[in-house]
Amino acid sequence: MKNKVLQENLQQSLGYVQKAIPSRPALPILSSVLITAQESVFSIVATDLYFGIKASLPAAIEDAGKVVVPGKELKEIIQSLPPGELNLSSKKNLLQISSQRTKSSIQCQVGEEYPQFPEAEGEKFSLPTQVLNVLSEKVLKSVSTDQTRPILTGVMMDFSNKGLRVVGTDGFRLAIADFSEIQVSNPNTLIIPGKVIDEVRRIAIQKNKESVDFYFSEENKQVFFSFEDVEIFSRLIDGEFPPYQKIIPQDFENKIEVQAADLHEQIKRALIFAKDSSGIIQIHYDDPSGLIIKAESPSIGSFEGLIDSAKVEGQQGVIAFNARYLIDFLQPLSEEVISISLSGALKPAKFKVSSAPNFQYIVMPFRVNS
Amino acid sequence: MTSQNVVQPDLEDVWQNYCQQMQDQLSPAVFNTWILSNPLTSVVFLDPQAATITITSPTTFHSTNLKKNFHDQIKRVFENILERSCQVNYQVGEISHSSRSRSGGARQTSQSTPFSSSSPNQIPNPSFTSNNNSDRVSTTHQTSSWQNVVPNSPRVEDLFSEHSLHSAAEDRFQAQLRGVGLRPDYTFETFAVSTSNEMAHAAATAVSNRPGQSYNPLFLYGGVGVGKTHLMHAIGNNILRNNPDIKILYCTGEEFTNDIVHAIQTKKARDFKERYRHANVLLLDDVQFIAGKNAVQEEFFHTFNALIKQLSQIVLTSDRPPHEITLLEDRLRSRFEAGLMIDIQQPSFELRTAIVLVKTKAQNIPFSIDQAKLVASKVESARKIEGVITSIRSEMELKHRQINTEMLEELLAVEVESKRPQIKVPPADVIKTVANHYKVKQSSIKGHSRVKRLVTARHVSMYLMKQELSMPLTEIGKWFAGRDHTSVLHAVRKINKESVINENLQQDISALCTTLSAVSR
Repeated sequence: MKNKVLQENLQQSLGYVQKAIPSRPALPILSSVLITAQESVFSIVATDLYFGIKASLPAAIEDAGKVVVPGKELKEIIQSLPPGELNLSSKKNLLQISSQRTKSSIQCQVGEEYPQFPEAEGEKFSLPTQVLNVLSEKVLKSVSTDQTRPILTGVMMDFSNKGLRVVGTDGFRLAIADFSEIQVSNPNTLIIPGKVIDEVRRIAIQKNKESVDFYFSEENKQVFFSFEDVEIFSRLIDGEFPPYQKIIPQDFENKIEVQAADLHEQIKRALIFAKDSSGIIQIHYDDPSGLIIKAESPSIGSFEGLIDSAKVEGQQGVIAFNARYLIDFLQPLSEEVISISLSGALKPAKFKVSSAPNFQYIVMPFRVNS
Repeated sequence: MTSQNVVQPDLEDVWQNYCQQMQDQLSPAVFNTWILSNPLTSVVFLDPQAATITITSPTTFHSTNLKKNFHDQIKRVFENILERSCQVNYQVGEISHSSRSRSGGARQTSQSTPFSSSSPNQIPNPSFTSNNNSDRVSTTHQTSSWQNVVPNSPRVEDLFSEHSLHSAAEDRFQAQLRGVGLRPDYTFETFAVSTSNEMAHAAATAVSNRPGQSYNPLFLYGGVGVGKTHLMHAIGNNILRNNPDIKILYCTGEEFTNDIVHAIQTKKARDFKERYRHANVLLLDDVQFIAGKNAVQEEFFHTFNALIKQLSQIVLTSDRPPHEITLLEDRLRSRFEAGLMIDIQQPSFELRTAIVLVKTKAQNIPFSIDQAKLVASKVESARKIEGVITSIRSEMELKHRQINTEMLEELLAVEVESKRPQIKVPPADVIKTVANHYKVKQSSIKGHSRVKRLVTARHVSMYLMKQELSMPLTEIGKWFAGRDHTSVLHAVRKINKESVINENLQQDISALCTTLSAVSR
């Protein structure tokens, strides 16, 4: 193999694929990336067999070939080089990378040992990048990272004649976003790993794309996102998504309306005192002067913050939440008014934002011991 | 096919054997990635020489590479194990539910093999469990492990725990009830059953358990306060409890009429149709109200047909059977009669006593059985009983009086005076109604025949004329071929005496009263 590439391009492509290099690979070879130069296409592939990224870049190919190079080391060395032309050539089990003033030789394996990248197939869908942005801001934070319940590490995307509904949950909170503007001909439900969605969005933004095409194959249980020069492969998560519709509360005893920024500030303060008690803060809606946010810690002290502009309807009471769940919801907001609908201290509460009527956030409260 | 006749091998045995052999040939990492993660999901012997083998992979990545790199080796191992030529198929992911239990077994083996103490020569590979397969294991056991996963923060209950789901379902149910307009206290549990209404109760229960499938439509009829509406609400309650997502529509004949009028006025007939024709269950109370209103009947006819066609359950109540609803269109009548029609009789004394006890218990009023009997003896309709109980409660709560016989007598005295509505019909109609009821000729009732059936009908007519129309005895006699007033008196006394012991007679009379009071309105 013998090629010329630009450092900028190679660094960018390695940036695209790096998330797919497994930190604990099932096969030793998977910690490496595959470099292929064939028929005027120069590409880099990384995968853990469940998730894979393939990036192509412009190159002057003098001699075709395939090599497998340790991913981390390759990325580090390329990153450290200045922009400009690089010469890549392989001899036996050494890949030589030479720039103007450097010459590195990296141990490599023959390309044939690396698993073959699958083909894109199945039905084609298209998603505006804007939708991915909303997902990342509103839904992905609720997706679990706990591998003991793999289904919850996925985002459920339900394409129906009513539009697209995206649901993410970690079992303690639930985020539902509806996009009625997205129309598809065939209804379908996919559960895509949350981190894949995040990665696709990252690449779409880097590449300044307005929309992302993807191919979904039920038979092969796979989804394939495709940009011109980057392809992302992921298997779909198999299994039954929890019956999320059943726990969406329909009827509430209380409704609280409050400025997002006010609540966010007070909860951030309260969290300082709640850090060693699993982040539990209490919202008191029993005081005529307004909403009171309280937190207590046996080792630090206690906090009390008043939001006097809050509007409370219904009975009085106290409810406790994990502050981090609320901050995840409040973080992207500022001027908006949010509404909290609840029915007592034990039932899930529903959060909504005035500016995003198609988004619902449902949080399970903590039991208050008093 | 011939494969039916060939003895099939045990999938798990083959899998174990295959793993064993592969493990000897491959390095642990390769074995884990390419063999253990890609379980064998079926082995079919086609004939003594050939077999088909299916290997299922989690991704296309696995299956394409498995096929590319290991096909020959896999084929050889299987041919060795099974001693016949093998065709190996590769597929991805989807393990059908029917085969899941078997493949689950195989997969479980794949999990336990590296760790089981019985095979000490095997080295567990940490990367295999932590990275690749741990998620697949729990996918298989998803449903069972759903509730007992340890939550990652203390004291917060899982959104999808049994308890949360249950409480959400209950809230939803209550909200649904309110939305539909059903009373939560009108359930089968609070419905007292006796001979006069057991058929209706049984049919209603059946309908509510299998809506649209058992009796469609169900037509309940009977006089005022016999429990038609209660049963109808109970059907709705039970259906919603079994399936909170079902679409139930409950309205009275009058509301239905108003809805149509409103739809026509606001030119929103389409909305109306949409609303009614997409219901899974339609409960229409007091359907007799739509009789005589042609546009309404027309619309109802189409709604009815549309619903029956899509197997939606229809329950109707009326104060009289379809053939007695005058001005009801024939095509509607015939459709009503095509379902199950059940007559709910006036409650017997025992049932009324039971109703008093059930209702007082529901309202937490202490009531003895003797007191209940006293109320039951004075009040005839179940709805009146409800009224009496309400006034008892108000006496208790507002005037702080104790429940005793004296207080009850006092309350009931007022009640009894304003008893059931007066029947105002011409005497000829009484005879006509009785004749219809007993299916005899009017002239024979008036005549001299001593046939038992006719005599009963004749006596009942006389009794009704005396009791309900309060006609003088001599006047009554004139209607029956000029009989003497003593004959009439005898008849009235006889019926009076007999109706206490003869339940059939009692039911006949109450049915006749109902019909007559309907006619007189």
